[in-house]
Amino acid sequence: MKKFFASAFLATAIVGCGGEIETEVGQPAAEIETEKFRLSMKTKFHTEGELVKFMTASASVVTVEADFYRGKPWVAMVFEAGAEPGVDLPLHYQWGTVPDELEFDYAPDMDFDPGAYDMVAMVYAGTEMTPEMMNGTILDLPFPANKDVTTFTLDQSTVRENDPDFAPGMIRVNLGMTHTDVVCENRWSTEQHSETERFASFTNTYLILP
Amino acid sequence: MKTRLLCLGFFAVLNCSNETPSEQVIETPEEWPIDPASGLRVPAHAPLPPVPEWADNPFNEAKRKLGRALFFDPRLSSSGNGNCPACHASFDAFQSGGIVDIPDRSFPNLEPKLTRNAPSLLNLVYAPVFRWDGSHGTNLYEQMALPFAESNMNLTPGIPAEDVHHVDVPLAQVELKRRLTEVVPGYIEWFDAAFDVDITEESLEDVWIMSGKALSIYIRGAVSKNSAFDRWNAGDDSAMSEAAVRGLKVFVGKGACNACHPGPLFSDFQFHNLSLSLPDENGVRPDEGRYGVTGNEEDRGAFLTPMLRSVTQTAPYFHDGSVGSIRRVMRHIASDASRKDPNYSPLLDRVQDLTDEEIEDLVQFLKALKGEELPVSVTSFALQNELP
Repeated sequence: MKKFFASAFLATAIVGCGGEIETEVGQPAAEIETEKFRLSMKTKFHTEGELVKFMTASASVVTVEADFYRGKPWVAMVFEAGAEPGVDLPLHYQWGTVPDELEFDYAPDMDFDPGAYDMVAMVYAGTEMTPEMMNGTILDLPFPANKDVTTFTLDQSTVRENDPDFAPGMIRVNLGMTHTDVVCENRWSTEQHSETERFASFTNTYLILP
Repeated sequence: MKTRLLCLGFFAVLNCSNETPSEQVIETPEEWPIDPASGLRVPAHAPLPPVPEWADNPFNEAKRKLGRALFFDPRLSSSGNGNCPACHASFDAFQSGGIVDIPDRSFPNLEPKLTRNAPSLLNLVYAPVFRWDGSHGTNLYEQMALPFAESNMNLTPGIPAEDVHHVDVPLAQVELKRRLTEVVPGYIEWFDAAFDVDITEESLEDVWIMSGKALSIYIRGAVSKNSAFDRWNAGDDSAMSEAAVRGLKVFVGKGACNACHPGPLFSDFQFHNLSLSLPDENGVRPDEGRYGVTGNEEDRGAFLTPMLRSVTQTAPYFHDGSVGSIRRVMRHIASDASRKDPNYSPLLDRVQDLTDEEIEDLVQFLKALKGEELPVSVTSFALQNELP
């Protein structure tokens, strides 16, 4: 699988505004068809009244009007495990819009072989995204900033032996012989001197970028 | 072949040529035989030497443990929340992954931000000069302690948040010693184990420098080495893909990347203007870079050449973090956009137009500069029971 994607890397064409990355390299004729499975990422931003809180990388808690995120574009991607966002092409990506209830699902319209994958999602709330940017190459997206939020986890227990580490911002998903969902929520804690609290608030969460 | 490689090495250090692209012919080898003298295919980009030993700061494990604690301990910031990893995350190639960061002086607000991108600390122990503009000297120990006096850690009581660039070392020296001896007195014993001194009786300056020394010992572990390129360079054909080898040819050939990124660290440690901080109608740039340190006109808009090992892990790029994609970095450098500033580096004239395929190959080569995984003892968060 790795070699297949590596050899296909240079012969890629990005499909419209989301979708599987098409390649000109076909499946080897002799390859045995294996069962594939779905994976998805569910996002939920919890609110306090009309406010939403996020942690920064420096562990402060920032409160923002929930409306700041409503109607803003999100993009989510699936990568081969160990990939580097912004450098490697995703296997799949999708754009969407944050709904009023601040919950959205990234459910790729393709299935994946069992194995390790890395997923990332970002909401461009402060960075203005033009149609040209959203329709352009997925590798040239602006770096999140200005209260944009992006997935993050400190939990490395998901990295199995002999699997590569994941890049910061990525969420490792180990797809077994079943469909798999990962959930990311805005977590925060003001008890940052508690190791347990600190770890929990930095697990499968969204960080806000300055 | 050997002659060609030596010529490339010569280009790497000769960085003041006025040649134009049409005048220069950079030949790139079709094959990469091992140079018998060095045992390498590209001696100009040899593997990293061993981490330097410092006669005035010999390694001991107590010092490394102390340096690690100083690096991670939020109690040494004004707010009690900031620490070095906030901008130089040990799990993220010792940089923040953000465009610019929020200093502790701004806590708990998101504003004001710092104005330059926090560079990676990887391989900093080898660097002869620090910071985007080379400011604040070339002494590593002082560099490592300095953030305590800046807005970053903000051990400078009374300075308002909006004064984000105000640095007061004497004030911070007082506060650092107070924190190490009174707020977290457990540090007294840790300094004793590391330096065999009682810091309660040491001068403010000595406590300051010892802190910098301990931090320097800790970041000796922040080294990006033994990359796929290093293995390929030593003769392992399978270590780099064909695309990465093609990228190397572009790196030393059409791209002339090695003009500014030579040597084992892939940096000339000089300051170059890449038209990233363009002058307005009055000739004033948003950030004058090196000029702010030297006052020399030729330094206007010039910034330090970053090292490239593990570069694909250190986005966003440039002094202001303005470019998130490494492909865009290369497109900028290989286009007229990099020569818009009247003070642009003449080395840019060596860079020829690159095709999309050549840029992809360069990306694959730069990926091959990723170092081996760092040990957990370097990257992991300090746990509470690891702090004094």
